[in-house]
Amino acid sequence: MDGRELRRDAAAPVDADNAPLMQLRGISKHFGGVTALDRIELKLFPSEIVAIVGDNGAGKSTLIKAISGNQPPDSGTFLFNGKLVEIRTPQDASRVGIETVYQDLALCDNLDTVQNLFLGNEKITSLRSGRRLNHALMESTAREALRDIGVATIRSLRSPVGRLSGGQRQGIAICRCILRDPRVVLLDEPTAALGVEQRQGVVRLIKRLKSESRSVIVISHDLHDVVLEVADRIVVLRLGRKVAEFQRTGINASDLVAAITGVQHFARGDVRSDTSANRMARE
Amino acid sequence: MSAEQVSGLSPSGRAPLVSRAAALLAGDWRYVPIATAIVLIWAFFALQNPAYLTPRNLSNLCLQSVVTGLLALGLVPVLLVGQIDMSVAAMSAVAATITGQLLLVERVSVWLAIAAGVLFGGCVGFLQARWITWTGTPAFLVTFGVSLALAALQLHLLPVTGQINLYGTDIVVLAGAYLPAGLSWALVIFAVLAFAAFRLSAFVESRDAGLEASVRSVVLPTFLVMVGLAVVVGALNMHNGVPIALLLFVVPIIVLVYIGSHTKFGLYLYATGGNPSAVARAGIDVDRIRIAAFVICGMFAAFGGIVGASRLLGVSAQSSGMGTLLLEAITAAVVGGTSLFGGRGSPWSALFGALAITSISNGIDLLGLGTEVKLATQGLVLVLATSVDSVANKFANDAR
Amino acid sequence: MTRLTKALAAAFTASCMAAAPALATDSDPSLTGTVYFMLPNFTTVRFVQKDGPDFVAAMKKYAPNVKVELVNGESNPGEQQAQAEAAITGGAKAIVLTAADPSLASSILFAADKAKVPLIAYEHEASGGPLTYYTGFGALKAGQAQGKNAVAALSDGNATPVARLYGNTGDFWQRATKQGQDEMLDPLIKAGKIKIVCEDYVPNWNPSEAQRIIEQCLTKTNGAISAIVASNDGTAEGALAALVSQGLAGKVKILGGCDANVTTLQNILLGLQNGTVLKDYSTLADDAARLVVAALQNKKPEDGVVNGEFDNGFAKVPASFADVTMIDKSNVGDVVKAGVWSWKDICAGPAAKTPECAAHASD
Repeated sequence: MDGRELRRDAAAPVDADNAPLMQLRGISKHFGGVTALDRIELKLFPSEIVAIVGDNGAGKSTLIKAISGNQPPDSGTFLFNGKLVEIRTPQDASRVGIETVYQDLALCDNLDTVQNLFLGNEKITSLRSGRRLNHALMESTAREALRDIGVATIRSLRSPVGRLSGGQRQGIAICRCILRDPRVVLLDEPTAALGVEQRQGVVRLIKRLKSESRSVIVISHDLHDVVLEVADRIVVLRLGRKVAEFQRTGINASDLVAAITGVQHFARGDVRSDTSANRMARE
Repeated sequence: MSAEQVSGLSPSGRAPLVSRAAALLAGDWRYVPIATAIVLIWAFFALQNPAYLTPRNLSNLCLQSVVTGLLALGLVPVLLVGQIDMSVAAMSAVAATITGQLLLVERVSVWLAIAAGVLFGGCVGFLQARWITWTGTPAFLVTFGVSLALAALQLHLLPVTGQINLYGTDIVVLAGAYLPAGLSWALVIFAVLAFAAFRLSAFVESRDAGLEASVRSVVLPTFLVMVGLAVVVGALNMHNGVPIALLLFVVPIIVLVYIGSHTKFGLYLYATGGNPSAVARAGIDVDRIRIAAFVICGMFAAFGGIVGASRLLGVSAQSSGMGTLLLEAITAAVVGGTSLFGGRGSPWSALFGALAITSISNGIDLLGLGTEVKLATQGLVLVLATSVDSVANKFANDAR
Repeated sequence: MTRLTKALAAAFTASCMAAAPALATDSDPSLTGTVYFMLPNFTTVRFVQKDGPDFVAAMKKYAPNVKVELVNGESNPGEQQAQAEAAITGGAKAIVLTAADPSLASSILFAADKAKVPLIAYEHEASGGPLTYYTGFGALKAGQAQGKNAVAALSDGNATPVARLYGNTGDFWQRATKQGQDEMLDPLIKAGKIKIVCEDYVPNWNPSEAQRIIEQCLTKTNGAISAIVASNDGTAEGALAALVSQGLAGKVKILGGCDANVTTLQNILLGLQNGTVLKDYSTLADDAARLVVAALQNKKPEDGVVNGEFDNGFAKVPASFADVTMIDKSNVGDVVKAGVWSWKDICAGPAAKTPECAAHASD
């Protein structure tokens, strides 16, 4: 079965520039008495990179888990291409064209690169050849895909990924997601465990996703190297609420830190922040 | 931070020697240590007593390793998914009892009796796995509890005489018959041709996909398989011939090896042992994979027990259930290179492992060294094998 | 049946005096309370399936108002000790103990002694502590019977190659049977009539271990052995399995044996094994019940029940040794007469076609 074809059909019409590709309406999530997400509104436009920032416990991961289908929200709706969609499992998300690169990368260390790239999405030989795993086709496709995104440096595609470097593993996780040809890529802390040089590699990959006209939602703590470097728009979460939203142009790291921690009033004109956020910031 | 980490997405530097050796041992060379060990064991005992390396003893070795081997083979998928089944020995005893009773008391045909025993093993495997996946109880505890229940069930199923005598029944063919020489050679030719055809198709697929592929990858392994099979079959034909029991062991290994490396299910077995949550997020039903592994295990345990009963010409409470069989089966799988930590191993490990530990007990019995030596060696081998496994696992995790 | 073997035993052991007429301990309804029979494990089937029920029946006969509790130590000496403590706490009037591990039973013996609960060791030696009585089959006699059986088959040989299978290293029954066998076989070995080419202990008396030991013996001798002397039936059956897979069944004699397993009796009828030593369990259970009753009545057991002394390393204990009978093709019927198995049990499978079975087809 090749899920890629199906997904291409689903996502075929190219949207007008001003119509959002994906829209979240009133997404809420509670854990017991704790409100993890409070009526989150979020739009994502085609070929747009949105960064979600916030302190620990702000609800970033919960939001990603809600969109990726790993932890469905209690209330709220998803619109994709203007149509209402149901996302209750990662497979639902996959079907509408959302793929996630998890913080832990979700790689099987004991499997090789090719096996990891196609896990759950394997290519099978024809009925006449016994419907075996098509190792040759998968390997050549993998080779091509890795070269496309500039991760052609893995010495052997047939050795376990547990032996590869952190950057290579990140590359594989992103490549796996691209192989499914998604419209939206969710990246959860893609640079958390990486060195400086490897971070730059990941940043290049994120930009590349945009250039392939995919939309990206990235969660990161890394304001300098990731958020301010690649994001078109930055959404700030605090205690489960969206407290601010910035266009990247004309904003600096200290503005962001202020919004994240809520200790300083916003001064700049291009800031679109809701009243509750301002109220919270004042308190 | 290792040198690799700062090199970003650029080519990683030369890995340390130990790590490279570990990589080789985890890859193409993974059978080198166990094969070396077997050769050393053989050399040691052959020096002590030349009778050790005779066709007659090779035949003994094959027959003696089959029961342990079949149980170990069943354990491989379960170990691959990172679980364990402590009920295999008890299962083998109950299945043998069921088959024996059906054969002698109900007088059903031998194939039906065997099928019923194997089916029972599969069902118990299914039930205990369903319980494990549903409740999240560690498999170690559930299967151990089940093994006690199975031991009780066997006592219940045995006739009042406490024994089932299978002498003179059709079932003794399983472990007591040999292939005629002609047929065995025909099978060798068939096996070599099938192997060559398979390698050839893999070669053609690689070439068509634009990958590096050389004809050597077809010719060399085929040649080695041919020589290996010819030596083994030739030696066995110098005694009684190729034991049917050996076929009943090796053919399932080949089937499982195929499943392991050429089907989605096989791949998922390995993946589940590596990172179950990643497998679940890839849209695969992890519980189903685990349950299937236990079902396979139960069926092989049952079949192993039936072959064991055929070999011993009977079933009794003493002959199979408790004792060292469980430990031997686990040791065999681990000695052969299947990890207790999940995700690493191969059905071949059942063959190599069972052969290795049987080679030792066979030699000790040949020299008449006594129970103390036997127990001490068994214990040492278990400790050694699991330690090697743990160290290998540590390397696999520390490599990056 | 019981009487017959009992009488035989008395004649054999005590003296050649006219065997006492079958003594029946009178039923004593005045005795009450609970007696515990502590079985060693589930794996030796006879304890659960024969000794336990036989003892319950015997107690019903001699002391109808005494309750018998059967507990099983599951091969675990620790478990068994806990069970014994529970029994003593629960007010046991007497304990019949088959030790899960004979050498680890002394704490049970001392605990019972301290609580003044009479303790009768049953079949397994219980060493290193005070005992009221011991009752068991004479393992030495079993070994001698096995030895005699082997001597009869091998005495006119000349350097006949023989393999010997002993029991589990170090256990009481193994030591005593080997000693009994040695007494008979040593003269033949010295005279050069037989030559022991392989000998080994069989861990836990496990038949598959015995099978492998014989397979390896055949390897070592290149198939040249004429007889195997086995110390019990399970190991003899394992030896036979080795012979069958090498096409040597019936060509190599299997001598010795012990327990009168049904499989072995069938093999004897089929000419695959020479004989076996019969231990009539109900005799033993009967003896144990009589000893228990005597202890509860605080009287000496009636004459003939105690017929020897058993030294368990702590003290010399009055003992009741039950006798053993050598069974071969000619007297398989004795097993039936002793009530151990029925002809129907024995005449199953290929054995059903033997003349002995044909003669008892209607039984």
